[in-house]
Formats: sequence, C-alpha cells, structure tokens
Amino acid sequence: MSRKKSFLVPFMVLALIGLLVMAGQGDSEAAPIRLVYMTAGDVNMLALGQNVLGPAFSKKYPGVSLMTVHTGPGDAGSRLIFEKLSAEADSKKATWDIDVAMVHQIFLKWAEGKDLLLPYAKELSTWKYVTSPFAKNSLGVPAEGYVMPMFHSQTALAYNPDYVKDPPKTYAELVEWVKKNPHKFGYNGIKGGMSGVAFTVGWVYWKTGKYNQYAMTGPFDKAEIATWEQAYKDLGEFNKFVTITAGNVGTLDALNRGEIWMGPVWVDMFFTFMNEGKLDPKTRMILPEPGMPGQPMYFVIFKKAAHAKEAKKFVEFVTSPEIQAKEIVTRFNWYPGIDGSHLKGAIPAETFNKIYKDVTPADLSKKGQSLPLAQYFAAMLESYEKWIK
Amino acid sequence: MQAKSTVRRGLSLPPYLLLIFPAVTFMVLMYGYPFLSSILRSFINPQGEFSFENYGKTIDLYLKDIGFTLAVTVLSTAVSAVLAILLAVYLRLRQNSISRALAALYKIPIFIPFVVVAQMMNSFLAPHGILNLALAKLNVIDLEHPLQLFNFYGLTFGFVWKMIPFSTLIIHGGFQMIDNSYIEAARSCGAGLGRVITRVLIPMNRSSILVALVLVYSQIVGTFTLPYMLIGGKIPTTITVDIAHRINYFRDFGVANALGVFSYLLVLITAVYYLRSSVRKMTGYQASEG
Amino acid sequence: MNVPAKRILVVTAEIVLLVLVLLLIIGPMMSLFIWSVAHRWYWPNTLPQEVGFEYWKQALGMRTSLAIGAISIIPAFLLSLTIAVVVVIISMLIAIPAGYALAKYRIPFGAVIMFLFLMPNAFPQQPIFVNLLRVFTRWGLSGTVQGVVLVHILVGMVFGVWITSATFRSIPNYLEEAARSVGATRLYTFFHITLPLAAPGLLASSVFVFITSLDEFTGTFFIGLPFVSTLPMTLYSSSGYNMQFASVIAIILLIPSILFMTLIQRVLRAEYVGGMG
Repeated sequence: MSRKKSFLVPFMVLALIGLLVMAGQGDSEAAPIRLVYMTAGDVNMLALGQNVLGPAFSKKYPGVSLMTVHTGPGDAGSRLIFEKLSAEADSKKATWDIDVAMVHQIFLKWAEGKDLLLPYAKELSTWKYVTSPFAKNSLGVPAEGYVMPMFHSQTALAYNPDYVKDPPKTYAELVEWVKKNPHKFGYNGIKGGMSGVAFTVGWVYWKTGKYNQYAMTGPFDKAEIATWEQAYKDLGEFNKFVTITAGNVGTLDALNRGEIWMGPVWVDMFFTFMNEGKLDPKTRMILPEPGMPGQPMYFVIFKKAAHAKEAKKFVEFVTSPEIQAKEIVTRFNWYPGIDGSHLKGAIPAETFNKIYKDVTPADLSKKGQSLPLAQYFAAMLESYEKWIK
Repeated sequence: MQAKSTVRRGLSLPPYLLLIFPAVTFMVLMYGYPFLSSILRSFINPQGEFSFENYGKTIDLYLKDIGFTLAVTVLSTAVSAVLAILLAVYLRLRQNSISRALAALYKIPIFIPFVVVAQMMNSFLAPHGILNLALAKLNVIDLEHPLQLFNFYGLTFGFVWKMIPFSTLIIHGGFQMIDNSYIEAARSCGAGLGRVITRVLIPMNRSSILVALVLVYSQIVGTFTLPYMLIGGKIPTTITVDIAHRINYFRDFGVANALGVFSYLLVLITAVYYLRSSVRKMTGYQASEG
Repeated sequence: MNVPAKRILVVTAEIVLLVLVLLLIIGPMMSLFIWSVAHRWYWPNTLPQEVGFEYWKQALGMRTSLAIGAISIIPAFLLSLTIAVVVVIISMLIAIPAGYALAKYRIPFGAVIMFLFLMPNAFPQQPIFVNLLRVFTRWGLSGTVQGVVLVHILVGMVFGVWITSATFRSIPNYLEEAARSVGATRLYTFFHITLPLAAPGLLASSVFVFITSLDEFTGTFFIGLPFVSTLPMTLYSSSGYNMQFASVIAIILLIPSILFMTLIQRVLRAEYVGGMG
C-alpha cells in the first residue's frame, strides 16, 4: 500500500506543476501585440503562417507577433471559424478573440446580414491590385470591401499520361471515355470533398447550359430545380462506370496508387502533393469544356477584433505583390489572389511554366467558372442526394 | 447496514448521495443544456417554426444510411465481443511465454486514436494498398481485380481492429477477478473447456462483458473519422458522415440534430438492455452470492 | 491422442495464433511507419522511392523549412500530456465514488444515471459541441485550458464510471461484510479490502480516461481554439493531406499512452499477482 501511495504523490505533484505552468503561460503575452490569425485550409496554411508569414511580418512590424491557428481543410474549417465568431457575437463581448481569418466563399453566405465583418478592404494599399469579380461577389453575396482574396484555386481533371494517351477535352468526351475505361475515373460524389462537388456543379452547368443564370446574374428560381432531373439521372448513369472515392485526398491517393487514371482535383492540392513527393511528377491536368469551377480563399477581419489595425496591415502584407509572388506563386505554386499582371517579372520563368503548363491563363479566363449562387448551390447538392441513390 | 448508519448518524440522507453528487452534477451542468438544445433544434424547421419537417427530410434522404450504420455497428460489436471473449479466455487460462507475448501485442491498437486508424486502414485496405499488394505478391489475387474493401467489410474490419483490444482489456480484467478455485472446481467435476467458458467464466463476468458491449457499440455509432476516410462520399454511408455533410455545407442543424437523435435511439436500445439486466442482476446476485 | 502429441498441437495452434495476431496488428501499422520516413512515394513502387527523417526533424523542432509544410509539435505535445494527467486525476476522483455507489447501493433512477454518463458517447459530438461552445463563450471558458479540461472530463466520464462500477459490482459483498464484522470501519474496508481487489478494473478505467483525453479532438477543437492547441488538433489538420507529418505525430502520440500503461502496471504487479497483463 505504501508503494502505491508513494507513486500517487509524485504523480499529483507533477500534475500540479503542470497546471501552474500552463496558467503562467497565459499571462506572459503582455508586451508584444499578438495578432490572432485563424485559417481554414490544409496544414500548409498553418506552416505558412507559423514559419514564414509570422516571422516576416514581425520583422517588418516589430512589436506584433502573429499567432496562426488552423481549423482544418474544406468548408468544415470555415464553418468552425463561423461557429466561433457567432458564439462570440452572441456573448456580447467587447472585443473578440480572433482578429483575422482566411475562409472559403461559403463563409460570406453564412455571415450575410449578421454584421460580423469589418469593411476594410478598400482602405488597403493593395486594393488596387484586385480586379477579379471574386473580390466583389461571393456566391451571389455582395462582398465588396469585406474581403481580399489571398489566392485562387481551380479544379481540373488530373490524369496519368502513361495510360491516358488522349485525354477527353470536353465533358461529353469524358462520358465516352469512362464507358471504355470503367472504374478508371474517380471522384467523391458530393460528400467528403469539394473536388467532387465542383465536378458535379460543372456537370450541371454543362447539361443545362445555364451557367450565367446559376452563377452570375440569378435570379434564383425554384422552378429550375425540376429541370435538372434528367441531368442528374445521366450523372447516375455516369456513376456506374466510375469509382467513388472518399474525398479530395481520396481521389489524389487513388491516382497516386494507380487505382484510377483520372479524377477531378484542386490545382493547389495537385501541386502540393507533387512537391511533397506523393504524386508522380509526370501526372498532367486538363480543363475540360465548357469549364470547371474554382474559388478563391478570402481574408476577412472581424468587426470587434481586438487588433483591427494590425490585422489590416497583415492582410496588406500578404496581398502585396512581393509576398504573392514569392510565397503564394513560387513556393506553393498557387494562383495569386491579386491580378497576375502585377506579378510579371517577379515570378521565375520556371515556376510560371510549371503552374501554367496544363491550365494556361487563357484556359483560366475562358473555362474557369464560379461556383453557383448560394441557393442554387444548396439545391444542386440536395438534388444529388435526391436523384442519385 | 444502511439503517444502522442512518440511525447512528442521525441523518435522513442516504450515504450514496454524497458519493454520486459530484459526478452527476458535473454531467448535468456541462451536458444538460447543450443536449436539450440539440433535441429542441431538431424540431425547428428552417423557417424557425416547430415542425417534424427535419425528421421527414432525414427519413427521405438518409434512411438507407441509418440502416447501414445499424448493420455495421451490430456486426462489428458482435464480432469484437466474440473474439474478445475468446482471447480473454485464452489469456486467463494459459500462462506461458506465448500468452505473455500476445498479452503485450493485443493492446497496441488501444493507444492509436481513431483518426490515425482511419489513415492506416486507408493505406492498408486500398485496392492497391498494402494488403492487396501483399496478397498479389503471394499470388492469391490479381492486382487487376483486387479486394474491394472501401465498403461495409473494410469498415467492419477497421472497427473490429480497434475494438477487440478495448473489449479484451475490460473482459480480461473481469476474468482476472474470478478465482482459480472456481475453474478448478468445475474441471474436477469433469467439465470440458467449453463448459468452463459457458458455465463458469462468462456468467461470472457478465457485468464486464455487458459494459464492453455497450461501450463498443456506442463508440462505433459515434465514430466519424473512420467512415469518412474509408467511405466518405459513397452511398450508403454512416450517420456521422451525413451529419458532418449537413452541417458543413448547409449549416443545417435541424436535420443534423434529427440524425443525431436517430443515432441516439440506436444506442438507447442496447443501453437499456444492459441496464435492465444489470439492475436485475444486482438485486438477485448480491443476495445470493456465496 | 496421447498427452505429448496433444501438447504439441496446442502449442502449435498458439504459435499460429501469435503470428496471425502479429500480422493483423502490425500489418496496418506498417503504413504508419513507412509514411513517417517517406520523402517520395508513388505508384508503381511498393516502397518509397526516397526515405529520410525530414519530417521527424521538423516535428521535433530541429529544423524549420517550409518546403514540407510541417511544424514543431513539442508545445502541443506537452500541453496534451499535462491536460491528460490533470483530467485523469480529477475524473477518477469523481468517478470512483460514483462507480462504487452505483454498484453497491440501490439508487432510485440508477439506470437513468448510468445512462447519463453514456450520453456524450451516444450522441454525435459535433452538434452538441457547437451548443457547448456558445455556453462556454458566455462563461468565458472558450479558448482556455480549463475549458478544454472540462470537456475532456465530460467525454471520459463514461469510461470512469461504467468500468469502475462494473468492477465494484464484481466484488462480492461478503468480503466487505466479513471485514466489517470484525470491527473495521467503512473507510478502512474500502481502502484495504475493496480498492486492492478492484485495482485491475480501476487501472483499465484510468488508462482509458487518459487515452481518451490524449486523443480527444472534436471537443478540444471547438472549445480550445484559438489559444489552446493540442496534438490531436495538429494531427487532424494534417491527416490525409500530409501523410508523412501525420504519421510522425501518430507515432509520437503512442508513446505516452504506452508509457502510462506500463508504468501503472508495473506498480500494480509488484503488489498483486496477475495484475492486468
């Protein structure tokens, strides 16, 4: 018994010390200003924030340190940020814990009308570099002034050139291709990842031909949904010849293991996987006609952020042409959030050729689509569940 | 005994109240409001009115998934329980170097969180994953037609892999407390191994076995990461994946909570069975223990 | 069949069982080990084209290069560990008496109370934790270590109460009554008769609470952000996306759990024959 007691005592002392240490840590942030930056996206965003942006920003603005917090990939990550934000708003705190966040487009839909965001963008010196319509409109929600795009991502079909000698250039050709090569095309349906969602949306755009109405002008007309039935039935037929994967990563993994030869991927994930040695360097991409959706990721600053001034400086910093060229494009091989013409000369030719080899700037401007307006988006997702069993 | 203590201390409060007070209060404070709030939200439709609309939508879209979840859970629990009991019996009855090695080995999956198990199973069970590659090397299968395990079977394998060690630890712990004399007595009466298991070991360890069953069952129902990585967008999928889908794409807490209530009902059934049998056992067993 | 032949058969069967279990357990874990040292791995190679310890160095804070998107996990690791220890202590302090009471007394609504502890496991966590976040934000607990500790106790409580209660239930009353009849007080009986006998079950219970806390993700994610960052959160973020980094974290997460278990087992084994092994 004494041995047992003598084991418990050091254990409890350890725990007590631990508690004191942790409590002490909380108070030591007195002197420098700590900017809290919450980002959705994959772990590269965390590493970017912690290892690159943080130190570089602190060098430029001594006295401010950046704390990067990561909420996970996909819309789920953005949703968590929103939950946190709305809990803080409800609690009527004077200042909020989070200052600046990087989120997906859907965030704007959730925040619409709730007075949670600061209209900061037009005050930045880098606002003049932003020309794309994405900066003004997010899935139909007016966002001008509330967002600055950090980078842009696009979906495309990745394929293994050893097995796919003549990749399909249009959705129609793809349908023929899967019939001749059953189960060699993979995507994740609409659950588990946005690459599959983007593919499905692109399918609906193709079949209905109503891209403009669904993504650009509106209005939302409930009657449109019934007209999609045949399109989805066709998709159900298409599904019989494909492999359904678990998500964005599932598709890339399956490509990596040679289980499928083609599948929709996010271009930024494509390059990240390749840089990390998880994808064969000879894998190629193609953007089929009439196009596939893409989306930017936005910086937003919260209304009652504790350090709004520093937050604005931070966004300005990351959207400056130098950082965009050096980190976003060259290091990560992502498409820039600001207009690409401002980066000419700052990007090495090698990088330029690499990222624009398969999906050229001309391709992007012609075939890079937006995701649909929020209500159409929700309807398209639910229709998949309704008509494809 | 209880009467004696109450008389002696002059209190009218039963002694167990103090013992359970901290735990129960903690649960009610922490969990009560969020839980009730969830149930309430499941009855509120997108317009904010009280309605059964969410349940209607859930049944319309997700009935198959609910059935799938039930099937996977029941099968995985049953397989885990049977194999865990057998393993626990083996470890109880044999004490040699092999059983010691096994005792150390089987515990490993306990220490691996589900999210890691999900990843491992993803690599292991893939059509061109480790298992299929190994089988192909041994010429058991052909890589053009590999074992397709990103489905019900692979999911069951993943759950069973993680839950057998958990169950074995609990059930074996229970077996440990059964004195050797009972087993020897049975043996000396001529009971074979089978009889020893079914007439001595299992009945004397009922509480541990039932606890293991209910805990395994409820853990499986609530697991998200494993089905998400193995099955994800396929049809059918589990309730947890659907809940995440509703919340992440639609912020639809109405249907998400309705799905949760279904999941809750699935667990309620087994838990009720356990609790009724254990309450019955307590009143009968303690009195007749000897 | 004569005895020696039967012996050989049984031993052979045991060895086969051992090998089978070895393959089944180590097989899936192989992917973990391989990925943790893989620098380049894609089809058609069965094994990585290029191996190295880059990700390990990144995770342990020995190197900071961005090319591979990994960060030092030491702070998160230490935090997770400390939280787990605190959680085990508090949980067991509340759970053991509760488990004892539920086992030995006929409590009205005892079944309902038992079920109360099961609920956090029975109801999918996400919708509940969203609500809990609102409550905690109002109480000023969100983003704090205290808040995270409370959440961990909440999800671990079921293991604390259910297993201890089953354990105590298996201890026959007559043993305690015998001690009491020779004059021992309630407390003395508990600490010298009941507790030692219940030790294996209580050990299992505390091990599960520890592991549950160490591996807890969903609640910590909701309540802890942005200021509290535990290891499972880093793991979840990189899981699937950065296989190499995730595998390194997973292997590192194994260590304290195994250590905790062997440590307590050793203490117990020294006193009681049979222990939990």
